[in-house]
Amino acid sequence: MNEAAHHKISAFKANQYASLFKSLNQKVDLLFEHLNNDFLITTNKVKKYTAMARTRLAEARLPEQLKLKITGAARSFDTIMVELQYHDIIRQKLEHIYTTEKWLADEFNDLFSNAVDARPRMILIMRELIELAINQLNQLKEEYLFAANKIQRLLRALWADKDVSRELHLFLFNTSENLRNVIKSIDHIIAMHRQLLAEPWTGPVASTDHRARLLADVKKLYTMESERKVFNQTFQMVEEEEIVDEIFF
Amino acid sequence: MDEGNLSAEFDLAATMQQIDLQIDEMTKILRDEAGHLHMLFDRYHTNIARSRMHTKGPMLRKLDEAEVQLTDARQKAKRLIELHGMLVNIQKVNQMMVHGASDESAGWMLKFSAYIGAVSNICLGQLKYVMGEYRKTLTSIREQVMLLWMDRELSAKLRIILSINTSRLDQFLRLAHEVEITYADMSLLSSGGPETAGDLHERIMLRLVSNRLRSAEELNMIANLFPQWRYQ
Repeated sequence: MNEAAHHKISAFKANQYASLFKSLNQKVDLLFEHLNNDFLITTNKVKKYTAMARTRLAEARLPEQLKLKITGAARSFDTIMVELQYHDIIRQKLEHIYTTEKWLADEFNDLFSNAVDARPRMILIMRELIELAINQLNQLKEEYLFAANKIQRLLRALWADKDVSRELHLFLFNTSENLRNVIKSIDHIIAMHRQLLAEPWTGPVASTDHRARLLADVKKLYTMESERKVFNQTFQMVEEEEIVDEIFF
Repeated sequence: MDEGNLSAEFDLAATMQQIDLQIDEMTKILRDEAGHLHMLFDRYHTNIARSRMHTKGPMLRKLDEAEVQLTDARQKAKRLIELHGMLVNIQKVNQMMVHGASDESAGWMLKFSAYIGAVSNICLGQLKYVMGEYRKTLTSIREQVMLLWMDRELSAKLRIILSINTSRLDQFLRLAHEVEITYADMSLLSSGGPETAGDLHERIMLRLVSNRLRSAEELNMIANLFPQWRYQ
């Protein structure tokens, strides 16, 4: 199990990093849970209010002005439901971060348990992947805050209308605890990544060409434009232009 | 939120206490497993003795061979008690760290809190070793029992059950995973490692840890992590 000359990663580092990347993924799992709670609480409330709105709108004797207001409220609820799909986008982005951390955890684990035969691959661009993860998490945090605040503004506007809030029994439910949990989780994961980056690394790094090939492999994970943008910004790359060759018969 | 300061909220005593409780559960699992296997092999040995009384010919030889295999498997099961001991030793290291860090002026000559990272790494290595050995022991025993089970006549006489219950192992691994995560997080809190093992204070720390992890296997793990260190 001693360090093998060909990769120069000490058993100490392999042991530590195998578990650290596993720990990071455990925290990503916890973040999934917080996000899921956040999503479920808001979704369930909004579904309830939507159902209330539909019931009221079906009543024959509803005054016209109130009908207009409740119709408007129902449209707002629909907007909120659409906005809530940001959770799905954030989850997908987190899954991609999880994947790269798992690659690293598995490779370090192989190195620790079988240094002679193990062949580090993604470890060679470990520091790049950590930097990328920090940028991705920061972007994710911004997106979450933006969407969460937008939803809160929509709900507050509805609640501020006394007629609407009375008719739909609309209570301004407090999602600040969920928000705090999510943000705290993201911040902690970012802090751990920064700490990792601050640690000295004397292990192998990829040559320029090899680095480019490995990064190209990693980039295949990112199907969303916003992810690719963060990737390109992190490594100062430009997006390849899609060449469309259409043959007309 | 101060995203930069991981050590701000860290409470060594509370963290070690949590780890110790989890290790307590893990040691209990190992004891239960060892006890269960011991009972199982006792039963098989009793069945062998009973079967011998009215068996002749080739089956008698099979019973002799089965007895050898089961004695060997029972011997392997004793490994679990050794692993139990290793976990208890990890707890001793934890206690040393808590005691040392809480009273750093008590003439220890070194700042324990500066070595949390290095010591956590050692405990992490030990923990992974114990996990691997537990898994290996059960697998080996299962393979031996399976070979006997495949002889349908023999397994009917001895009433051999093929499956070795892995629920205790699964529970053990779940706990070990949580402890692993905690040690991994602690390993980030301070620097230190084989690159600085020449440092006097780190050598003292390694000596203190080695005093508590005394078996050849445990010392070998430390030597693997700190190749320039040798316990003397």
